[in-house]
Amino acid sequence: MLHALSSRDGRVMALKKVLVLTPEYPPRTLGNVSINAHSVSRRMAQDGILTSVVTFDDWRPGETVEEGIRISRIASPIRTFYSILTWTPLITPEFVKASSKIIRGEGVDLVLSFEWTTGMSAMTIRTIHDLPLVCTYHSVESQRNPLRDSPISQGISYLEREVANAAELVAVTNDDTAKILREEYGISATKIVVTRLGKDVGSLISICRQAVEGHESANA
Amino acid sequence: MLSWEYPPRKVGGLATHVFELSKAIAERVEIHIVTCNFPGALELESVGGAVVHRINVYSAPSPDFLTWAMLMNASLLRAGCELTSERRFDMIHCHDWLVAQACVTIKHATGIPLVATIHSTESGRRHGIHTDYQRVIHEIEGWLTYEASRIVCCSWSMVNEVAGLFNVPRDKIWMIPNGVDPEIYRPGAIDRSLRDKYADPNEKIVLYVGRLVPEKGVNVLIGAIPRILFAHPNTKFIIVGEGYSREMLSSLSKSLGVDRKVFFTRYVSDDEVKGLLGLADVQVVPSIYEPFGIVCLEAMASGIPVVASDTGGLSEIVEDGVTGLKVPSDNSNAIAYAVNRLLSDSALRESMSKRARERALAKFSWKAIADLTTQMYDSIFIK
Repeated sequence: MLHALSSRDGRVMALKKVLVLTPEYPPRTLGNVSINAHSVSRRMAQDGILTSVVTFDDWRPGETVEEGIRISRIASPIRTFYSILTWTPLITPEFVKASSKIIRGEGVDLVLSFEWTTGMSAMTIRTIHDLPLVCTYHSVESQRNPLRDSPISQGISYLEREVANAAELVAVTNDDTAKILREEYGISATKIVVTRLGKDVGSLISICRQAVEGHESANA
Repeated sequence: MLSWEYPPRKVGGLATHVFELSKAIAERVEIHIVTCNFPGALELESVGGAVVHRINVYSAPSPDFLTWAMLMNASLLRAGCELTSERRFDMIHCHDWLVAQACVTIKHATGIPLVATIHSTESGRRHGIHTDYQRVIHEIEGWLTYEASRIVCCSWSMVNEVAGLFNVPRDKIWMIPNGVDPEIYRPGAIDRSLRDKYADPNEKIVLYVGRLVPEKGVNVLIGAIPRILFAHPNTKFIIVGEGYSREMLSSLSKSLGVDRKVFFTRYVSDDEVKGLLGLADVQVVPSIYEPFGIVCLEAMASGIPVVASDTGGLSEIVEDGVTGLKVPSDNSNAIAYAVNRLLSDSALRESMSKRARERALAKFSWKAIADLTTQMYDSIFIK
């Protein structure tokens, strides 16, 4: 099955090739992000969408095809872990390197990024390759961390806001997250979609299709 | 070209290097500089033919400098991506580890080759790697040397250091020194009002210019002051610059009983530094670690005899006994002996100042440096 849709001028457009960026993907599973990234990738592959996943996995770097999904697992070029706010930028070039290889090889219609840790990579790819971006947030920093004004939390919030600003659409799991994005991060309400990430996979794929359509219309 | 420092944001010699190099290269190639914003400075301007893009970077509190640097890279990366998507570039030139993340990311996103200038190393600055914080920076420097098609070092000492620390093939490294503008730094008339601000009319002036950080060895110079004052009581020591060691250095001068003869100017403008160079009888560059030592070169071009540590790039700039006096690093007695020798012998000071300027002009012109830099760029495309 191909997810096809009609644009405003009647052209039939299809979501054919998706690049998924996620900080975790099975077997590396720290939380729901891994499970949800896997669910949506598998569903897209089953639906005939050429799906490529770039993820971090220090123990299994390399490229494989699993369940019809092309998976690039990257390792950090910097072996010393200092903090999450230094680790994240320093894995970005490797995410971008693997992603650019896929884009130059097979082409990509849309970038779907999971969480802020892949955000810098997603924003870079979006700008350089002129691709629509959908980012997803299971939660944002102020929901996770009671010390929301600590320097680390402020840095994470800054990156979360930057990615949400750059994205065509932002998918979140609950109304509270949507409210924070609107009221604290200043993200336009029209860009935010509340969906049950991981549970309602079809809805996330529809959001991706909307982003592609919006991008095509903007470029037309 | 990406650099976190560019005038008016000046922390060390990097800003001056990027400013002068970009001006010299702009006569031959189109050059854009992506750098951090600075209060009062224009966001976009043309400087000597180079287009300068000052980017609003992350300004909220950070846990430490390394973390801030990574968030600063996020801002520079976004700006660099927008710029590279608007126009075609042939080369990315990265200055030091501070902007490595943005430069390497743009390289991989665009396929544009990367050149990196390593101005100094964390291992050199810290006398080895002792903490995870330092190890991350050290690893970033090594990673940058791996990702870059060419590495530029400003002295043979740095070539050896970078090749040894990161196992970089020698044929990937180009030695291109720093330069000096002989029109900006030249012997000039003494500014009497400036002199009166810092010293009595009968006092001789010994000058230090640079950051107040341990690797610059200012404590070694202060340790030499009692011996210099013993021989030349009418001497004033002007310490120009700012840094986290300032309070410790101030305490040291008090504990040695020489604080009335030492003047810490803190941060002063470029014009005032040039004015001070015109007043000084001797400049001391007491570095313990010094990849190049641009302040030494500026003093030489200004016709000031220098006493410099025989270390790193300083060893290559100063011709001992001809353009200045070299002393073993971290040795207060040697500094005191050399400064006393110069203060006692005006004929020696005069001959050294003349030869120092001649050498600075002959060996370290920005035009020659621009020639070498464009040759290095070209070498990437010649198979």
